[in-house]
Amino acid sequence: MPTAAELTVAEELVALREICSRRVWYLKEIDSLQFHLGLPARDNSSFYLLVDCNCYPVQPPAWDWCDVGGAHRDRLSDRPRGSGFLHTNGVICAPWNRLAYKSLDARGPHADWTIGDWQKNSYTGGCTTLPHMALRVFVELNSSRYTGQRLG
Amino acid sequence: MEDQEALKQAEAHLDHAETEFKAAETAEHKAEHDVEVALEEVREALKPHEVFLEIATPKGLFEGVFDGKTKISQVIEIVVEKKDLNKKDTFELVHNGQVLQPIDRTLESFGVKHKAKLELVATGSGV
Repeated sequence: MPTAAELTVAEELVALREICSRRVWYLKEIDSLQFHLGLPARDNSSFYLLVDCNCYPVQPPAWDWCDVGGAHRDRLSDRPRGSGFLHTNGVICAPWNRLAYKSLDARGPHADWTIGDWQKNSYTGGCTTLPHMALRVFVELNSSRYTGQRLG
Repeated sequence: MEDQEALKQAEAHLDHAETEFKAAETAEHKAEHDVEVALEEVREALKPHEVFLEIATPKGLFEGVFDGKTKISQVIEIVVEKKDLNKKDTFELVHNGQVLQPIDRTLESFGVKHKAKLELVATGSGV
């Protein structure tokens, strides 16, 4: 019997698959709750994320920068430098990223957010599904806010 | 003997399944090619003032031809309607990393012409 998280991910990945296929973005589904996503940036480089959707949508997914092979999640050289969104702590700083919560990840910039309220957080806006989030990251990597540099 | 017969049958089934899988793959590639050809024909058929937009949205891709004088707000409204997105959300249209604002300006005023790839994203920020 699939879990609520698995059903939600399966439903939301339909749109993301379509976009990735047409835009030639890298998408590898690791299992029913995790996928590896590659997004091009404005300087023609690419960034990769391992996305863990355990407990989604009760909790937001964890969007973790990683290398092209998905084996390393601890290297500063895999993390873009830019705005507050592309945080210097090495995490995407948004309420829809589980890693932004200090209570769950030491790098999380926010001790003032409650993870169970992530969809109601005013900074979430409409970013409440996986394709919304992926598009938001893509737009950030292709905006002038991304400096064209990496954290390490 | 029976085991060997069963094995042969299983192998035959496997061969058959592989053949069907390859045929399906070929059909899928042909369909993708046909779509690309059709899209190219659409693009070539554009009038000078028309713009072919491929917009990545949270509900998948939207494709359509717009007049260059269409306002950004109108494009957003149409795509939100056609893709059945939540009308209560606020969306931004993005082209090459640039948010197309103010939204009462037209596509052509932002230099969007011929065929262009855009993204429709819900507002929501990092902090």
